Amino acid sequence: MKEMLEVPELDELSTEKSVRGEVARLAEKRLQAATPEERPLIAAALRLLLDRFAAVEPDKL
Amino acid sequence: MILRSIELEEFGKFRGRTFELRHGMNLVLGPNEAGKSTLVEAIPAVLFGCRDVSRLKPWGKNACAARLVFEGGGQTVEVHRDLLSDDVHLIERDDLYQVVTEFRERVPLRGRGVAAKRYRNLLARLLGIGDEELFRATCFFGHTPQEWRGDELSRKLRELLGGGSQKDYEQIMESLLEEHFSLTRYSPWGRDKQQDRQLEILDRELAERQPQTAGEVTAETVDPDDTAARIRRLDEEIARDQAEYDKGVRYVEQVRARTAAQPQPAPATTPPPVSAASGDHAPLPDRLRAAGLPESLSPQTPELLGEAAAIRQELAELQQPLSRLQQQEKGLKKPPWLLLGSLALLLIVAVLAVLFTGLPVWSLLLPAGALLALLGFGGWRQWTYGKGRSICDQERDRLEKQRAAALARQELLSERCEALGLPTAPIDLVRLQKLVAQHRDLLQEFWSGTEPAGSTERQPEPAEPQPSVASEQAVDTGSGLQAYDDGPGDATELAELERRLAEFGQQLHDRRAELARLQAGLPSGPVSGNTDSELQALKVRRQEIAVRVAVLRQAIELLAEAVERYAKSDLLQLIEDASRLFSKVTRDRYPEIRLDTRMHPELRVDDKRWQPVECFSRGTVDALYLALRVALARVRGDGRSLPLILDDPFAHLDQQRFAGALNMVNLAAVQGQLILLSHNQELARRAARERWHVVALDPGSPDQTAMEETDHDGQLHLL
Repeated sequence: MKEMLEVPELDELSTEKSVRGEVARLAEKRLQAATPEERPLIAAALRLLLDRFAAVEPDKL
Repeated sequence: MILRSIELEEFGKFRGRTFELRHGMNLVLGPNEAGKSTLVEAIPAVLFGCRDVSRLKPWGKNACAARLVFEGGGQTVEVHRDLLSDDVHLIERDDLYQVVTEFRERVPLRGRGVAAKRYRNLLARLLGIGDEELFRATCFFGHTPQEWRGDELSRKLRELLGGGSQKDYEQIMESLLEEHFSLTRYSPWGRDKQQDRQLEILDRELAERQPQTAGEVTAETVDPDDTAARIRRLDEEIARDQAEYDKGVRYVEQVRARTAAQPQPAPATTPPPVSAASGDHAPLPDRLRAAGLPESLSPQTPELLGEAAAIRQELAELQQPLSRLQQQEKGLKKPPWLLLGSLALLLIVAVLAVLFTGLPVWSLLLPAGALLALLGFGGWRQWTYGKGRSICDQERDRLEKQRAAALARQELLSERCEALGLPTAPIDLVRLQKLVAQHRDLLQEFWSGTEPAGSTERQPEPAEPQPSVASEQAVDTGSGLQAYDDGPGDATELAELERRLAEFGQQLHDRRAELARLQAGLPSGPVSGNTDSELQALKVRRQEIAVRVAVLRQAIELLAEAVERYAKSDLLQLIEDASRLFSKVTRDRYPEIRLDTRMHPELRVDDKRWQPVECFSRGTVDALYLALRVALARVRGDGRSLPLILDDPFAHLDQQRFAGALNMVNLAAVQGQLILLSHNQELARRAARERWHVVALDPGSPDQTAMEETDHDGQLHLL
């Protein structure tokens, strides 16, 4: 799952008590329930969100 | 981060005193009038400002200032405020005691300026809370604790529960939405935007290009039969266009001749030339305008108007059978059951009377027969009524269906009219139909007047619908020419006519070239390669935008749900913790609390009902808000919180609840910092036992110099 999302620090993120952590947990959950066609979309959405979080809080990633 | 010290330069009854505080429980102990409340009031007064400085200003002094020092995580934050001028000096230092942030501005309690906003943001970043009301509702518990009510406080509490990420989330969500609506106007979450965005513009462009390309592709791939059919169709269209063009050429010649003749003044005695073209015909546009008509109409207009008239006729025809049916339904009479029932009752009474008076039984035959006759009559009337009703219902269904079908057609027609810019109301359509008839008459009259003498060519019918595109163009061109059929004309109009004629000629020429290509079996479309590549590029671009929109939508939904879950998880945690603590304090009398959408607490009573907190005693309310503050401090746990300051929180609690509440705050102190103010000597003994840090206030010597106390000093003092 982590490789599919191309977010190596996903494990760490998923345990984080923050909105960002919640996003990571939710994306993982959705990814597991998604069809193969939907998965790239969810992965792209997660990467986009993490980029935006990093832009807002650069010290967190 | 903990509050390390409170330095009171000139504050209430204190002058030049410093109170050191520790992590964990800090007990400020002293009798009444010792200055306990004044001491803790220094915290909100320094951080946020003070409503009534005169209360805190020392007697006979014109100064009031204090300093707070916070420490934690290698950081030190010092906040100093002159309460008379509201000048604030905030310094943030790192672990090497280097200044990281410094703020020095005037920030009054209700300040709304840029400096005040910047200061509050700074406080929120460093200490977790940048607002006095929120501070009093979450960290401070005075004699009358700030209750959780009001929309503004509810919003702040929710934001506080959401943590510092709330603002980041808003910023991110805003940027995602902005990007989404720069790509498409359609919103899956609410109202669409008015104007088309990139995706819709591309769609439109593709739709415009697709038919052309489809036409080209068809031309290239159709079988010979189709090509032959197309050649025939094109040939017919060219013949029609040629006729129109010839007519236009003749007309332009005529106008040119008139224009050339115009400057020459006619002799006064010479009668005006009698000709069909320049006789008593007024300029056509003027005549059309005078009749309230547009100068040109869409070729589809007569067809639409004809259809509208047919629908109106159909609807009108339906009115007659409907009204007849209504009359018929009114004519149907229900059996008079009331009357029949009354008569039957009378007969039964009569029979009973006969039986009681001892008359012979045969005398009952007459009333019994009458009763049966009444019932039979009633049954027959009911049957005829039911049958008539059924027939009427069937007929009404049929008519209603016809009417609905007609109305549906009218609706479709209205849409088509709207698309052509025509009015949609039936009365307007009737008026328009009359106008179109006038339009046609005027044009025919005019054309009959402008035709050259002896011309045998057919009269044009500009407003009639034509099947082919080419013919429509020809008609449009004809209409365009007609708009300038205004008698003598001038040079400008002549030039315009010539320009239009040239354009039409060019179109005709292109059409001939197309025909020649088809006849020669050559592929049409001179730049089809370029068009294909452009089309492909557009399709690729559209695909990219569509994917980006899908990703953005997924991201927005993901973020919104994550924020909701995050806030809900914290809220649920808060409710759970507060319920557990409050249940312990009240010894399971109130096992559960809940917060409504406005963060207003309610208590469950009798395992069934929920009651708002106002319905309970002061002691219960105090215990509840104490539990909520302790639970909130625990749930937040982000290291940015201010200490919990409890000014005599047990004043309204009975002995049992006092013990429970004390245990609760003692446990809470383990995880952070808690400042408890009391005059209760029992607490002094507990402090010695639990090794709390004690700050003893002596009412006799308030002005003593700064006093450094250690844990042991505090304990020994009490012992």
